[in-house]
Amino acid sequence: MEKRHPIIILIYFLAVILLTVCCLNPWITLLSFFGGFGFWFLLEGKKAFKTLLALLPFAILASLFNPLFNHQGVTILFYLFGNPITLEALLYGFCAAGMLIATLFWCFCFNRLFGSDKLAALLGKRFPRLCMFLSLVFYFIPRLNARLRQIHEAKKGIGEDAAGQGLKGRLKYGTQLISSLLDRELEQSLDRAASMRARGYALTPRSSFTSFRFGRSDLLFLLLFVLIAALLLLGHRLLSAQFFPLIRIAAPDFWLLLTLSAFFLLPAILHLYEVMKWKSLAARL
Amino acid sequence: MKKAFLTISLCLCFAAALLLMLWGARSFYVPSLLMMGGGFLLLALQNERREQRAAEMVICALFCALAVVGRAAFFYTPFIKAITAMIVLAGVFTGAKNGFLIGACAGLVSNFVFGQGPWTPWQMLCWGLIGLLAGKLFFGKKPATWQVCLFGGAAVFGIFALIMNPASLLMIQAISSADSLLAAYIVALPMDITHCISTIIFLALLYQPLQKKMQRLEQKYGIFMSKEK
Repeated sequence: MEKRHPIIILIYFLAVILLTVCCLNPWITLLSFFGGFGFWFLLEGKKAFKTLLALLPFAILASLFNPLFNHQGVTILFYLFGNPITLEALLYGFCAAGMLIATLFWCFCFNRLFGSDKLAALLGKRFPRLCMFLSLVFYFIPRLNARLRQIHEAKKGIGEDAAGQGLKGRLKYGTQLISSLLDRELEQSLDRAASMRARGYALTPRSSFTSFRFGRSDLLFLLLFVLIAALLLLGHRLLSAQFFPLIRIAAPDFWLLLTLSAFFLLPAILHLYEVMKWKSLAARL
Repeated sequence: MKKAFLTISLCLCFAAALLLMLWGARSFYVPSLLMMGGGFLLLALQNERREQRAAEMVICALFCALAVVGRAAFFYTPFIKAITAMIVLAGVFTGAKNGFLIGACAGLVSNFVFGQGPWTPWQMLCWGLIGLLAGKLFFGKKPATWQVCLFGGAAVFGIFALIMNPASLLMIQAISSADSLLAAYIVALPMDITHCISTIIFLALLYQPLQKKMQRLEQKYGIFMSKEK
């Protein structure tokens, strides 16, 4: 999956996240969660369970939030401060929380697969200026962090650290840090601009460090993706779910569930396949 | 190529409007995402076309990076959130178009550092708008410190909180009622207040020194910001 063309990664993750977010069908939420969590588990190993544990409180909060403010639904469980708490709203809250968690896991995976180099490679040809701007920003961030640390160390060395001071002193210290940082960097960046101009900035299209070719496997992936998406669009009536006033969820159709699981498990399966292939190749050596 | 992108972004907005009509109040997440996508694409196109000198671009990138790491300078006072204040300052010193670019990119890039999520496009929109408005109001006018501080404080509530709270509600709840919206605002109020106060403090502390530095640069190297039309 990592080796796929950036546009493929972007399209796939956008589609998965959008489908998860806009179809609040428990089946979709469940499958999406398993797909996202499974892929994250393959990428991260046992640390994935720690992430899940850390997310649980948020999920519980999010699921309790809904029935407190949403009183639609016909099955009233009990009254809280004179407001009805309904079963429908509670289940809806659970589904919404599951959706949130699933989306977050997909986002984690996306973060891992889609680094700044891919963004640059994607933007480079069509939006050269934006790409240049972003790569400058990505260059500046670690640099500024390092400079800030240097300045802080230097100030500590001459005994101007604000560690023991009150709020006012601390605020002033932060201002001084930014001030000296800017003093150094602003002029240097103008020199950098002059050097960019001298070396012919904007004369030719940008190239990127990592080159991504749209190869045959990418085409295969795209075709598979389009096929599954078309099947899902055909079956979209079966995907609808209604929560209020009564819960009405279409009975899961076997083929639909199969398509859905194929859609959500695609990266995990591909990843496993690649690992297996690598292992078998390594074993043959 | 330019025409193709123009068509794509217009199609996105059209699709969003269509979805809104068909779905009604069932889901706002996808239509708003489509609309934002179309808008960002148009602005990116405009950004490719306009005149921007190398020096201007490097300074803008510096401001954008500083907005992301500015927090690190205030490690003794961790409640200070520098990003909004830095974007206001960037808008004031570099103009509306650069302000939007810096704000939106700061939203995108800071999420590469802290983690992308469904909130990314909304943050990009909020900070982009803050940068844009700051530039429109103050660029080239040398505003007083209190004006900038007032704008920063108002922007946190009037733009950031106004957009982000309903947006975070949309992420956990497809059907929103007025009650739950109010609840979301109340839950987020303490955070918004700290955000607002820290933005004002940051602006009050840094506006004058930065103004001096930028003035000095202009004197030393000549004018390097292109005029707004």
